[in-house]
Amino acid sequence: MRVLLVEDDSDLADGLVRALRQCGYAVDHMSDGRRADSVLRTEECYDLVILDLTLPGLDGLEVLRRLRGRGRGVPVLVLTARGELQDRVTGLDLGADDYLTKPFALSELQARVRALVRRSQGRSSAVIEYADLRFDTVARRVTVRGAVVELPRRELCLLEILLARCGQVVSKEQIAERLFGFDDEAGPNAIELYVHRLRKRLGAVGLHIRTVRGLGYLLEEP
Amino acid sequence: MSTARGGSIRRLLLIWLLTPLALVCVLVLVHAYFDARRIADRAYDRMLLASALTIAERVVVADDGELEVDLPYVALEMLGTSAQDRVFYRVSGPDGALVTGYRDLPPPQGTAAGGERYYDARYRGEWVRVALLERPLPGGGRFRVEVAQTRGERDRLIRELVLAAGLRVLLVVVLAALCVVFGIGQGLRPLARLERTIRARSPEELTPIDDPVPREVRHLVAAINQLLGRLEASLTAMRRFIADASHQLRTPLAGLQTQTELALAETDPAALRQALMRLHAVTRRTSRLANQLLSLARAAPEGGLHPQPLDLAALARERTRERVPAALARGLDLGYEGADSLPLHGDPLLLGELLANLIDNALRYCPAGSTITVRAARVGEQALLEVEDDGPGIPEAERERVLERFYRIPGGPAEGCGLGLAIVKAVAERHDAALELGAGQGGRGLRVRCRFPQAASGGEEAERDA
Repeated sequence: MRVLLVEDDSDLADGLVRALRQCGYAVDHMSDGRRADSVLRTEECYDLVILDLTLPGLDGLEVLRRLRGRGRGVPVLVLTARGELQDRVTGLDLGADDYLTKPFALSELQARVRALVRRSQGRSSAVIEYADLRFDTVARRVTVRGAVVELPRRELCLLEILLARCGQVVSKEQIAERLFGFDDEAGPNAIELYVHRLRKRLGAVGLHIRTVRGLGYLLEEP
Repeated sequence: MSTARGGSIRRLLLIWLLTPLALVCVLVLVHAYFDARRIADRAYDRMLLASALTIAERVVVADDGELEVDLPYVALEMLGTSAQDRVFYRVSGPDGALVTGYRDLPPPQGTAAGGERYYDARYRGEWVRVALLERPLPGGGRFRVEVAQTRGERDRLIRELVLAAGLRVLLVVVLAALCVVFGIGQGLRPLARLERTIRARSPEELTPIDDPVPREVRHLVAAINQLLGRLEASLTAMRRFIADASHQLRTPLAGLQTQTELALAETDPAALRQALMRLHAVTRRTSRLANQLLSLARAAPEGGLHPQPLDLAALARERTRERVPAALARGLDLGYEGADSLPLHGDPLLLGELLANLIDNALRYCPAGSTITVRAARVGEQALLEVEDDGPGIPEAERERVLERFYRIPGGPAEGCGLGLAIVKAVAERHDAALELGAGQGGRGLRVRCRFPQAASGGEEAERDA
C-alpha cells in the first residue's frame, strides 16, 4: 500500500509520515506542488494521495485538477486549513474523495485513510469484511468465522447497504433507495420488517443493528 | 433624458437648462419673423392701396359704355421708390375684360367684395404682393384694379427686423448659458469640498463628517456617516475579537509549552507518557479553540452570509447522524424527532455550525446514559429548531451569560473554550432567529431553542418529495 503525502508544513508532514508508516503504509512525501504534479504524472503506483491545498509551487486544487484531467482514479484525501464551503465544494467537484480540515485528530485521519483504501479496494475486490463477518458481493455469500449464514435476498441486500457504511448511521431513505425497485411496496414499515428479520439473524452471530431515533440504523459490534 | 448610470450632474443640468432655452429661442425667432412680415406688409400694403385708389379714381365710363383709364404715372411712381422693385398693374371691367395693364398677371384670388384685399402671388418667377380693389360702376357691375409689386423691399425689411431680433436672442442665450455654467459650478462646489474633506481623512478616521453641507446633500452625508458608524463598530468588534482571540490562544499555547518542557525533562517512561497525554489534551483543546474562533468569525456580522433555500429538517438529521458514533462511544442516546422536511431560507454552513455546536455541547456535558434529542418543526409561521438533553443543564442565573464569548460556567468542566453558545447566538442573530435557553422536559437538563421567523412556504411540496 503506497501513499503519496503532499504537505509543505514539515512538522505536520513528519508526524503524518510516521503515523502512516506505523499503520503499515509505504509513504512518500513531497512538499512542493510542482514536484508532486510531476511525480504523479510519471508514477502510477500510488494507492492514495493525501493532498494539502495551500502548497508552494502549484496550488493543491490545481494538482488535483491536473491529476483528474489525466483520467487517474487514485483516491485523493484533501487537507486544508481553509475549510470554507466554497473550497470544499470545489475540491469535491474536482474529484477529491474526502476532505479533512486542519487541525484534525490523527485517529480521524487514519480512519479516513482506511475508509478510502477500503473503498478503492472494494472496487477491485469483491469481499467486504467487518468484525468476524465476510460478505462476498459477487457470490452473494455471507460467512461468519467460516460458517455460511443463509440470508434471503432482501436481507442480504440490506446487510450490504449497512456494511458499506458501517460505523455510520444509514437513514431509512438511503435504505429505501437501494433496497426497493420502482414497483415494490416501499413503506417505512417494510424496512422495519427487514431490519427486524436481519437483526435476529445477525444477533446469532454477534452483530447488532442499532436503531437511532429518528435517524436510521447503524451496524455495530456489540 | 436620464443619462445612463453615473453620468455627470453638470451635463445633466446643462442639457435640462439649455435645451428648453434653445427651444424658446427658436419660438421667439419664428414669432419675430411673422411679426416682421406683418409689420412690413402693413406698411407697404398701404402704399399699394394708395396707388390702386389713384388709378381707380381715373377710371371713367366712356360714351360708348367702355371703361377707360387715364393712367396716372404718379400712381406707379409712388411705388417705385426702390430701384429693385418692379410694379405691375391691371384694370379690368365687370366681365373681367382687360381695360389696361398686364394681361398675364395671375387672376385675382377670390373677390374683394366691393372693398380691398391683399395677397401674395407668383408672377414671372417672383413673389409679388397684390392689392386688389373693387369699385362699383355707375351703370351697375364692378371694375377691378390690381396693383402688384415685387417683395424685394419688404423682404429686406423683414430680414432686418428678424436679424435684429435674432441678435437680441443670441445675446440673451449667451448670457444665460454663461450664468448656467457658472451657476452649476458654484452649485457643485460643496460636493468638491466634501470630496476633499473625505480624501484628506486617514483610514482610521471613521468619525462622522460634520462639515456644513447644502440641504440637498445632507441625506447623502447622513448615509455616509451611517456607513462610517457601522464600519467603526465592526472594526472595533474585530479589534476586540483579535485581542480576545490572541489572548485566548496564548493560554493553551503557554500550557503546551510548559507541558512540553516538563515532558522533555522527564526520564521515567510512565511519567513521560502521562506528560504526553496531558500534552495531547492541551493540543486538542487548542485545535478546537482555533476551529471555534474561525466559526465565530464566520458567523459574525462582518462575515459573509450566503442564504439559500434549504431543508432545515434534513440538515438537522444530517448533522445529528454525523455525531451519532461519537454519542454512542460516550454512552449517550442521540436522536432526532420532528418534521420530515422544513424549508427555510438560510446559510447552510452557518446553520450547520449552530447545530454542531449545540450537539457537541450536549455530548460534552451530559453524563453517560443521557438522552439528547434534536428537533425541527414548523410552528405556525415559524420554523423551530431545538436541541434538548436531560443532562446537568444550565442554572437560570447563568443562561444569559453563557451566550457571551469566552464565558465559562464557574466550576464547570475545563475542556470547553466558551465559544460554542456564542457561535450559536451569532448564527441565530444572523438569521433573525430568537434564541431561548430553558430547562428540558420535566425541568431537567437543557433545551436550546431557535425560532426562525417565516419558515419558507412550500413545505407541503417538500414533504411530498421527501
